[in-house]
Amino acid sequence: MSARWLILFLLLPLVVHGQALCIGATNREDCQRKVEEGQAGKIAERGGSIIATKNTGEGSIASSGTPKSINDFLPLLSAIVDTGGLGGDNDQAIQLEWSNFLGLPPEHQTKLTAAATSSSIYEPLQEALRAADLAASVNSLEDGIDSSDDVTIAFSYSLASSRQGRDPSLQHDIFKALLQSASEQSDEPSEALRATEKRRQDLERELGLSNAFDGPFTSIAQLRRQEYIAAVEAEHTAEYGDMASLLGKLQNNGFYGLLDLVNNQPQLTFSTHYRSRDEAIGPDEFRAVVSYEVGWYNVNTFRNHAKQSCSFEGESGCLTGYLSKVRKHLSSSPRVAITAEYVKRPKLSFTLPANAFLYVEQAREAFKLNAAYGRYLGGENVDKTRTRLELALSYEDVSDDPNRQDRGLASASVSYPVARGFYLSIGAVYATKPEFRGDVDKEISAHAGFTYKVVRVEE
Amino acid sequence: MALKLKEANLGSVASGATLTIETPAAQGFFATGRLERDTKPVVSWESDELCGETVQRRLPVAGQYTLRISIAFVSNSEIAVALKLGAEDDNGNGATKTVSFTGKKGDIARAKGFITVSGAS
Repeated sequence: MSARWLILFLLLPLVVHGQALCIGATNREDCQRKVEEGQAGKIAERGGSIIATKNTGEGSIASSGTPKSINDFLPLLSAIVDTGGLGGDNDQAIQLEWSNFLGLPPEHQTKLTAAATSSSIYEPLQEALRAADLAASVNSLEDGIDSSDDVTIAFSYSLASSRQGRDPSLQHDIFKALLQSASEQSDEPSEALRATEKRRQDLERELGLSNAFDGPFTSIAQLRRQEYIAAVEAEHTAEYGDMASLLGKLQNNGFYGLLDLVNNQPQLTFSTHYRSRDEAIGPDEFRAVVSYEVGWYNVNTFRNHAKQSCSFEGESGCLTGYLSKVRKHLSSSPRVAITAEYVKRPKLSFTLPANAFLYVEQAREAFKLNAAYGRYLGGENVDKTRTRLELALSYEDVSDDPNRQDRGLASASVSYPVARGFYLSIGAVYATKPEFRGDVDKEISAHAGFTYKVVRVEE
Repeated sequence: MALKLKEANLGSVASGATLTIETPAAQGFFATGRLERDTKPVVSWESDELCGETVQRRLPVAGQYTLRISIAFVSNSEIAVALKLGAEDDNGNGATKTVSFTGKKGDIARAKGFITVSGAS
């Protein structure tokens, strides 16, 4: 059943049971509210939402540096919680992301990130303490650590345009052409709506009422009151039918399918992270990151297709033809990201004066290269969101320390949408030379977490 | 996915009155508009003509005018859109009202305005 027929089917009860919803309505506005409550405004719940916030994969805690194939600037706020290792061997973390906190136009995508991690004692320091027969001090140090001892602040920026960036408003030329075309095709307002409106206006003239009379229905002569209420209800019903028809046209002409292509647009992102840690947890850290990410089929590939095969992007059938051609790929929407990262850690000096213990780690710089791949898996859930798989490989080269050079990291995560905007994640990390990572101190570790995206702004 | 309708009665004005439509810049939505007099088309506007603009239209002919501004949301997150609709004649008759919606991609909103234009002022 096409979306249009589904909508018409859902509206059928309105037509069948028309002129019954507004019994007892006090005025025009109340009648409209009853019509909306009756059926039409609830199409989403009945027909299922066709669009929902995309699953952008496991939330990446800024302090972990684990790369992802999507840097998501679109939700207003996101909360990411990493509940730590499945075996209780990883650090727990909570992170808040605030997009467009500067209120800039969509050409400038920004995000401010703050993360707090409940860390454990720095692994090399633990080893040094044990080597100095001070293993008992590890426990007492652990007891003194709280989440405010490991805090990361990050700022991300992405320059966007019609060629890059996942904000739909950057593709306004195509959207406006599709909306205009749907509006013209649906003959908005429909003849049915015009007829009901005319009937209501004629009655108002006969009854000496003002246009779209918004006074109480009780002020209308009782003999004609129900007739007038029925006319108002019929007009409202037709109005919602007209809007549903427009929505059906938009679904059929690819207006919402274009959003899947927008989701795959490339992004070039710059970000800086500063991690402040207590000396017992590890050295502070500054990271500068540049990443480029792109999905297989996107608005750019559609524009190229349109140049070759259509007169312009908004031409009727051009987008729907392209969407049907790439539908198979859009269902998984594979995406890759390449990230280059510069990391600087200042000198770390930790002392236990009572035990004449001193641990010193010299300042060092590192260069990291990351590659990430992500795709959707399986079918859509009730909110039309899908499970997402993320895979990543990292290579790190640390200056002036042969022991720490050529470190590798591989990670995999699966995030599953459990409710609108709410995702559960499970992931695993494999690290070579884990003893030097500080963050990943096991060769293989698994962790779980959840992400909640705040997308609602109350009026 | 939801359909949202709000109405604004802009009152009775004399012919020659001015209809004003103020629409915020298109960030996360697109819009179209139509004006009818006694259920006959008068003028329509495309998204670029409405969004971020203040549109004014003189209403020289008497009749029952109905204005429809349709909004198609495309934003991932829910956003608010406030339209300012007004009608005023030389004698200061008429009204200006703000019609506000929130929505996200998949939602359609419609602001409907009513104006009664009487004979010459």
